[in-house]
Amino acid sequence: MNKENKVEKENTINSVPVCDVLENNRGVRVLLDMPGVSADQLQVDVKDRILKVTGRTAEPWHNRQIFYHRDFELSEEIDCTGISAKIKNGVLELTLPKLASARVHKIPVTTE
Amino acid sequence: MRSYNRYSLIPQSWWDGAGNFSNEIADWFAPFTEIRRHTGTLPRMTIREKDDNFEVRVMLPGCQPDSIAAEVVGDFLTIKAEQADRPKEEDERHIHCERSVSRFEETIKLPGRIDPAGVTAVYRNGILTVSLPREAKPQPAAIKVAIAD
Repeated sequence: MNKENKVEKENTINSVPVCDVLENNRGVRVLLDMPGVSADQLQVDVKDRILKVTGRTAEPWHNRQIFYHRDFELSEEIDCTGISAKIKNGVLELTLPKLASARVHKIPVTTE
Repeated sequence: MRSYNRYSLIPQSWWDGAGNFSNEIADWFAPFTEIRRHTGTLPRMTIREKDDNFEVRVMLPGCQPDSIAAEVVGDFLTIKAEQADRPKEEDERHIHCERSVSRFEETIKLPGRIDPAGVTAVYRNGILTVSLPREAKPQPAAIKVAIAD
């Protein structure tokens, strides 16, 4: 570890943001508490069905910057290309739609 | 027992270290010890003393700004907040729940006298920052001595 990395490490607090996961037929919603993070300091990406959320606080907390990081493994039912994210009041909301094939389709039953 | 795992939404870091746990129960509790380890050092409230003011900051993610109230009585600062209701769509159900839905109320004693008229509070990105200017130090008033003769 070089000196710069060490300084960086000493000045950051690593935190795993707490989350709620909600599900319905259309998709899954993930809510993460990330206080102090604004949209421009947040990164959400998906690669190989791993959804990676990272963010850091703009202003230091207790003289150290908070570095949030949490990974999620997505099931085959999620449409990785349709994921959207928005942050409001320090709560990140991820919307993960299900693939059409994974949704329940009701079939009407008729009588003759 | 692992119903929350249905969509494999557990963080990757949890199962990375899971090999260290030999039995099912320890494995199941691993996620929680992991979280504590990461957030245990993170204070929710901080107070910073500056030359001309005190700055109190509180982590309050997901609050409605109008539910936050700050009050100063003498040397005591009280902060109250309510976390907003989590809007849940009709057919939605929780498959994993860690976030707290709660009221926050905390009273702290400030490290010095403040000027209550100059207190300001800002809620931004889920953090409430209350700035409390120090009370102006009484200036010595020179009294002219008249000579009575």
